Amino acid sequence: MNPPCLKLQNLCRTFETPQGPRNVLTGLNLDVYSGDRIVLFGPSGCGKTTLLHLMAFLDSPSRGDIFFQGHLTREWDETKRCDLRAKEIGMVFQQFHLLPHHSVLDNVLLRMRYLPQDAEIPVPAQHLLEEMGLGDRASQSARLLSGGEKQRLCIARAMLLQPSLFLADEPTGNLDAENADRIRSLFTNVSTRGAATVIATHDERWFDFATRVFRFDQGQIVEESP
Amino acid sequence: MNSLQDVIGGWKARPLNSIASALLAFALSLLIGGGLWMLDQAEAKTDELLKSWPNDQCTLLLRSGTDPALVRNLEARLPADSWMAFEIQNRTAWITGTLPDGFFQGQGSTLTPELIQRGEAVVLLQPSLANERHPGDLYLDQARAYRIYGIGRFNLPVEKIIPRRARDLQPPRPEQFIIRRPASTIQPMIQDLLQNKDLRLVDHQQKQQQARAGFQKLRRILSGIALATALLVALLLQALYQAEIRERKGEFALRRSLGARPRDIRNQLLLEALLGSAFPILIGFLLFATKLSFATLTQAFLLTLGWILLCATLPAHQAASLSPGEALKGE
Repeated sequence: MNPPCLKLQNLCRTFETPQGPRNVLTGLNLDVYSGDRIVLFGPSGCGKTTLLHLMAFLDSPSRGDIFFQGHLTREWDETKRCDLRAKEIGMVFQQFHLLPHHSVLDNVLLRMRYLPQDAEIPVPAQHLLEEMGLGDRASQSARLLSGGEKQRLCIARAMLLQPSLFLADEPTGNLDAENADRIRSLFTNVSTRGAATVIATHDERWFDFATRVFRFDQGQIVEESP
Repeated sequence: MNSLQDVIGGWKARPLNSIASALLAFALSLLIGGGLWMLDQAEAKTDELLKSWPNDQCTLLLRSGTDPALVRNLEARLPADSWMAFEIQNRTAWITGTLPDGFFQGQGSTLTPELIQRGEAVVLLQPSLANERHPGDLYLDQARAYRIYGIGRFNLPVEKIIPRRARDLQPPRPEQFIIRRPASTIQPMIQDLLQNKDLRLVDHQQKQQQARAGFQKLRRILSGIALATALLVALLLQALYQAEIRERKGEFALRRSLGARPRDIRNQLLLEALLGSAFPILIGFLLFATKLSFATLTQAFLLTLGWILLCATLPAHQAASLSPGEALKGE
């Protein structure tokens, strides 16, 4: 059997606060395989975002280990983590985080910004935008898009390099029901391309999308289904 | 996407910050350019001054050694618009002036043909602000300070002095006041005057030292002003850059999530600072293009640009050190 795309082993994350240390994650174990559609479900502040940041190597655990495709990442330097983020991980945020004064196409191509000049794009950016229903908006400024369009643009940006790990933090948190449905169907499409997808949300409507749902509370997985 | 697009996008996103930092860079270049121009002017003047005291010649300063009451009395009687000039050529003193007839009569020392024939003369010129450094001196200089008040008693090695009435003439040109003789000719006369303490001799070396000292002092003052200004601009730029980093935390975190290394963030901010200030600085220095040499302008341009980069280094380093996770959570 192939090793998990991402393996979290006894993961802890503690933040120093003025009131003293705050344990956000306490001994968390999780294996994420390619093609998995995982939903991390839990109330706000339960540690979902922290876990996603650890999975994306944007943060480091206080204790425990993260294995990426079978490799222990503890000893990796920042350069290697950056390379991994650039090539293998796609992230979608609740707040979109677009460059508002750049065009829609430039925002997608930002994904290539920190790759070598000769890096190949598996899917042409314009094609991806058309797939997301933004084909005719490519040259427009990103700040002119609606909330749903912005989130679709974020997904296009994350998908451009067909990452092996696709992470989304409350991707429909700022959207109306219609746009949220559309985003969920797009995520299904991403997952069928073989990427491991992890969604952090407190929206139960994502359960239909998931192959595995982890209920999350107090920095721990309290329930796994199915 | 490339670095230039990143920079332009950064400017567009925060136009006020960009304009403010560009204006600061422009102001800095104007101040530095102005200071350099003043230094250049001062240096040129100093050079000119130094050249005006050749090694084989002396300039005399003649000081009143007579009764101060007499000076005041003469001063009170002196019409405000009167002037007097003298020139010595070929052992002949030419005196020109608009003094009233018989002005010197009954003053103890009177400029008469007899006195002149004995080689002794009393000269009075009206007060001059230009002579503040040597009050009471008769300062004969090639460049300035010709209208000096005081009484000078000196022996002129001349064959005759010819007074000239010149009521309707314009005030004399500076050249008319030059007394310049080879040092070897003047030395005996100086010795005689020194014994009477009526003469203060300023030789060319002393003058050169004074001129150089004045220039050095000006340079120190201007350097101090430039340094203070540069520090002030640095503080303002720091504040601007810090504010910008606070506003752009989300963008930097996004870039980090897309694989940007800390050095990519740092380089982007330094490039923004560099390109954002290069043009205003260039414009600022171009205003001095006709006043300063190309080499000076180039050096000043590069130094100012370097200073701006130095100001941006700390904020850029801070932005590069931001934890992307923390920054994303803070958004």
